[in-house]
Amino acid sequence: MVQVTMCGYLADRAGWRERAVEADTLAVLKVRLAAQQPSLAGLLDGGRIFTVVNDVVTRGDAPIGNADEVAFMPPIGGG
Amino acid sequence: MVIVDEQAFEPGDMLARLCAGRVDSGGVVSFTGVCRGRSNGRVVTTLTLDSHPTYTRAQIVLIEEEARRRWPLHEVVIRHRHGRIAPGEAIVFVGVASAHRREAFEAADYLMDQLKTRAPFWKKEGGEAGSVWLEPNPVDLERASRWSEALTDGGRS
Repeated sequence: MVQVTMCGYLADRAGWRERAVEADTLAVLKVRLAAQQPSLAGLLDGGRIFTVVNDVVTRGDAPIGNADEVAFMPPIGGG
Repeated sequence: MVIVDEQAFEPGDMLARLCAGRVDSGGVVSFTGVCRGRSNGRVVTTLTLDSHPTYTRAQIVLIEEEARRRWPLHEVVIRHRHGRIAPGEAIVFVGVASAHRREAFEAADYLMDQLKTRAPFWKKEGGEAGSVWLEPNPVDLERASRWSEALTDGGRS
């Protein structure tokens, strides 16, 4: 199971902040998340959302496994 | 030093600790970011800063390391709060100590420009009409980009 974290407004959109999901690639993960929560459809693959795997920004598809943490992050507005 | 937590802090205490016992640093510069009670014409009752438990601090540590590579600094303190913050409370403190004031001023300015655009926080303003997530500010992005230009022109600016 992969630990998924939704940051910023994505957590509101998903209805949750952290959840364990079964997936072996990022592409599969995004499809499963959109299937679970239609309000996420098209969002996670959009250009504005960053995918961060174990604290490393990851573009495109990549294999993921047990104990991996995948966070989805909107554009930053901190400070 | 990088501190990222939900604890309220007193900027004066942070500055006092940074200055204490310092005999080689001729310049100590600090900045405090404060939660405002009005934003874009709206009354703000609560500011909520979301963050990531590990990635946020890791990115701020990278920003500190960049500043230390660019300027000869004796000490850098970055304290950034997350969670629920009330108007008037400090959100972020940046303190820099160096031998001379020029490096301290520039490094503090650089650190704040980078934190505003690269520190992984997401702000939600709560007010009387509900809450709204804030978008990145184009002015902050433009200010952060000028540090790259400064490198390109040999640091003459």
